Amino acid sequence: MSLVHADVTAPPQPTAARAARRTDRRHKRSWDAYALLLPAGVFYVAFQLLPILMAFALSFFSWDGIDIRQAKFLGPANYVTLMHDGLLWRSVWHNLVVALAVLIIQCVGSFVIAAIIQAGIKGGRFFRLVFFAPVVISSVAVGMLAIFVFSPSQGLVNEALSGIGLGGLRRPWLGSGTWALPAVIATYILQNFGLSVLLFISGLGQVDQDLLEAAELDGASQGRILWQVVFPVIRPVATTVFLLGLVTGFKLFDTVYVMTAGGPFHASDTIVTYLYGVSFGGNDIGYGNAIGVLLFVILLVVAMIQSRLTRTGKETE
Amino acid sequence: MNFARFSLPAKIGSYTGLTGLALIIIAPLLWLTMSVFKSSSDIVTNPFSLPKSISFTNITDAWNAGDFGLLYVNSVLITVVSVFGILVLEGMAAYAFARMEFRGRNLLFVVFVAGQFVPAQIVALPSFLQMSHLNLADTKLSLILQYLSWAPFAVMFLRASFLAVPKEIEEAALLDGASRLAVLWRIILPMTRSSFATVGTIYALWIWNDFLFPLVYLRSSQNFTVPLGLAHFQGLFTTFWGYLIGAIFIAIWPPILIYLLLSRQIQSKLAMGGVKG
Repeated sequence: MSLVHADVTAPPQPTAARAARRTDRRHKRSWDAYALLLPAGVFYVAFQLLPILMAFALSFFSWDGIDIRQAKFLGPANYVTLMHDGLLWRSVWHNLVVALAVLIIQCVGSFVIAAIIQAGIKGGRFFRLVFFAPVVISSVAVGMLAIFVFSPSQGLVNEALSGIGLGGLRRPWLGSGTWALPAVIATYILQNFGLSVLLFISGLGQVDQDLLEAAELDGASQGRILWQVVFPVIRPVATTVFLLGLVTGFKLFDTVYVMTAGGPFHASDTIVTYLYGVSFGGNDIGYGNAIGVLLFVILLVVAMIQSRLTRTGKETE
Repeated sequence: MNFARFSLPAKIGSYTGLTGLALIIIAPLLWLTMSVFKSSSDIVTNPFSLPKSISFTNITDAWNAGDFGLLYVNSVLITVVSVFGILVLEGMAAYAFARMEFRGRNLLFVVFVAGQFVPAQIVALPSFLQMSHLNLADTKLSLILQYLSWAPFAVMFLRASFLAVPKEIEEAALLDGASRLAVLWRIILPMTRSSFATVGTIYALWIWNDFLFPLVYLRSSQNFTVPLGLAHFQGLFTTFWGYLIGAIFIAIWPPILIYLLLSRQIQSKLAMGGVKG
């Protein structure tokens, strides 16, 4: 009995000690991990997460941004204003136009161009070099250059139109309520076009060459190969390019701010230029943050669509 | 797909389309580079002719009036410090997420990554109020602190590259008695160097070209970055074409030259990241 007892009690002692040491070590490792996370976490929490909470909280106040003691709690009043703010919804509409232009011109156009370059057009490397160059330049510099390009007198666009006998189409692009937004969108898309081309080219590099050759031997036309063999493979890349364009389109600010400052008379305002004007021009910090929360919600919806799309079209991401 | 097998109209269409697009990008740069060497009156009266005589006054005038030397120093300082800090901070965090076990790992990772859905445009205003509260308003440090919080993409990308390093190599080295730090320094970092270079390139471009945060954070021109200084310059000299063209020239050509020198590396890094701020 006592032997059995000894048998039972003796072995657990070292095991328990070992186990204790092991959990000890695991604890120690886990503290190491927290120590590694801490520096990054401090910055991230302080200057990303906290500002979001502040934006949300401030959106329920009326405040001119100067003395916090002057801030007045309004409840949801800013959101009621927001619902009936015609200029804001016009800005949202402009962002939708940007998104649509990005989808049609940038996504489709860059796919076709990437396919042509990938197929081996002569000078492909040169075209890549040129198309991608605007991506590395600051959008402020590009926007300022674009002001000259769209200048009513001596601007490249107007002079080129006159040059090819279409002088009747000359207009004061950025000063026109109708044409300011399209001019800004054209500049914006031209600047970002190269990145989409590049993404599509790297996606096209993953297409199965044997399958392509088989299709070509079968005598399929180049167009059919493009849509029936190539497109299915790069669908995930296409989704990424589209959603990237959509998200950046909704955040559009720099190009508009520099080229038109949202004008003339809000004709090219986007959500963010309008938000900037309300917060810093109108000193209405509370309402500015309510608009910020609206943008956050819109982008959250886009993100949900994204996760839905990438889940059904899985594989590459 | 084989370009040689395109039909003739498709070939002609391809060349026309690509050449046309290339011209639309090159023409303004060419116009800028030609105009910058002209006199102000020549820019207006003969906008498309070659310069009659080469003059550098537009460049030197703009350089002095806009204090571009200082702007470049500021931008380089802010970008270098921020990118280096991001690589260290997010590298450490990514390593913990990839290789260590601890309570709440998945949840914390989700929190870190969720930030990618937070638009910078919302953070700008409240974080500016924070900076004022910390007595950091209108300083280069406030910008650097903000950039150091741009964690999500770097953490995600670096974690994935740490995960791609075979665990066996690491464990073998540890069994051989190497310390964790030595393993990290001698084995893991060399194997993930190109991922660090990718993250560094992407963040350098984001930070160098960022306009919103400098615009919201900074007031005094001695702290301005190149994009903010350029926009400010535009407000001061709206009608001085020579000055403006000089300033755009100064801001555009250095990045383009770097790009032309390193185009293949930059292109491959950005394609790998697949992102745009």
